[in-house]
Amino acid sequence: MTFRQAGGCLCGAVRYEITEQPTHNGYCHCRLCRRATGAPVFAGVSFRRSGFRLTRGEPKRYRSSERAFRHFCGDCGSPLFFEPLDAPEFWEVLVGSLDDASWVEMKTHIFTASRIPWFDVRDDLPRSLGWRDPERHKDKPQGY
Amino acid sequence: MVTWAAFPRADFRFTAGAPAAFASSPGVRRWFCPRCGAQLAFDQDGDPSMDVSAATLDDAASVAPDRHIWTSSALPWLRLDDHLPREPKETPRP
Repeated sequence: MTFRQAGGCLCGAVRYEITEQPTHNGYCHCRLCRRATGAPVFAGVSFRRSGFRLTRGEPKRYRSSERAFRHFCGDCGSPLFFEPLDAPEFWEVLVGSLDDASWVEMKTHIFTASRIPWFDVRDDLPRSLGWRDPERHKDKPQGY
Repeated sequence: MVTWAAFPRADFRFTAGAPAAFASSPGVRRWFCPRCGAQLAFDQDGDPSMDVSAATLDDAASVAPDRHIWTSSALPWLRLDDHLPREPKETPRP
């Protein structure tokens, strides 16, 4: 079955489409993600870079750490993508930017140690206090 | 999903930088950082408050929300772990 989902920013200057199934969907409660989005939790859909293309406009990007860029629309500010420089074949799209996010099935929570005390999601998904695989990310314990 | 903490506009000021504003509707301003894209605040003509995105506060734990608004647009799979009142749209506050 053909997979196709599209999305974009609030003002419509940046549009994208995804043509491959996501590899992972998850929540990140880390402080950097909260600050970068203004949301109490980051909800993202991961996909292969090969299955993603911009269809309109060009986002701005901000280097939130030495290991990642965060992309957003320079006109309206909508946060759009997360680009990890140490795994460049995988990007994350913010769930809120998808035209239709009803199909997304979240899989995990990470960095729950940083969770805002008054905010939580009611589910039975696996949770980790930091990274899912701390060994792989041991040189960046606080995230990207 | 955004958590807004409303403050009287007179009690709010930007202390560094020059935030950008996007008018998502007439008379409405969504304030964001033009360098990193962080969503910071929201205000509109005729409303005496400035709504700050609580997640950007240095101490976000200090401003627990007390209701949900626009749940008619909520994602069907998102279930938050709280017992707050939910409003399909938004009931204006005094």
